[in-house]
Amino acid sequence: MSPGCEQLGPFFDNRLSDKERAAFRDHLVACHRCQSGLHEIMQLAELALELVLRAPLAMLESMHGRHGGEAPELSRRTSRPV
Amino acid sequence: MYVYYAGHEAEERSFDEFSALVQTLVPYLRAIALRLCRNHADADDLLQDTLERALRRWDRFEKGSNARAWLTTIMYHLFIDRCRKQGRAPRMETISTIQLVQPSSEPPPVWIFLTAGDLKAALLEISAPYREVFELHEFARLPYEKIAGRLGISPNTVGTRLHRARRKLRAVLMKFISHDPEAGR
Repeated sequence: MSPGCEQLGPFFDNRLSDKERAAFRDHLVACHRCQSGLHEIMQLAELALELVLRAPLAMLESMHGRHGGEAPELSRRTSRPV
Repeated sequence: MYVYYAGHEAEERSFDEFSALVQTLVPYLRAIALRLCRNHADADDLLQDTLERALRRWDRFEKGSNARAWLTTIMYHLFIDRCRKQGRAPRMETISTIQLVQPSSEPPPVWIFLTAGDLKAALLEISAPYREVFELHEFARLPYEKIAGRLGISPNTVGTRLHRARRKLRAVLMKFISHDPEAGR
C-alpha cells in the first residue's frame, strides 16, 4: 500500500483539491488495489442510493430516530469504536 | 435522451427494452458519475459513454440479473480508461510502491448478486459508530464536517470511520455471498 492509496476515500467523497485529485487519478491508473477499491465503493454507493431512493421517508425517519434529537448520546462519544 | 441506438449489436433485444431498464437507473448512475468527475459536464459525458457501451453489449447482459451492478462496472472501466488517457506524466511514485495492472483487469462479478436489502442487513452487522457515519454520509449526504459536528468527532475521524465502515460492509456482504447458493452460479 502506497501513500496514494489513502486518498481513495477522500477522492470519492470529494475531499481533495484539484491538484490532489489529479495526482490520485495518476495513482489510480497504476494501482490495482485502488482500482478494486474504487469499484467496491462505487457499488456500495449505488446500493446505498437504491436503498434511499426506494424508501427515502422510512430511511430518514429511521436515521432521525437513531441520530436525531437535541442531545444524542452519539454527540458525546469521543472514544474509538471497538 | 441519453441513449443513441447502436443498431446492429443489439439484435435480439429491443432498444425499448434496454431504454426502459436504463431509464430507471439513470439517477443512480448520474449520482455516481458526479462523484467521480465532480462536474456535471464530465459526469454527463461519462454517463453517456456508459450507456452507449452498455447498449453495444446489451446482447451479453443476462436478462433478470443485476443491471445496476452491471452498468456500474461499465462506468468504472470507462472512468479508469479516462484517467489513463488523461494521465499526467511523470508519476510521483516509484515503481516499487505501486502495483502495476493490465488495462483489462476485471473486477470480480460478485456485486451482481447483491441488493439494497443486503446492504440494509449488512449495516445491522457492523458496529454503531461505523454504521452511523456511513448512513449520515451515504444516505443523508452530509459532508464530513457536519457529520463531525453531529457526532462530536473530528472530520479526520469521520474519514477514518467511513473507510472502515466500507471495509466492514464489504466483508459482511461477501460473507452473505458465500452463504448464498445462488451466488455460486
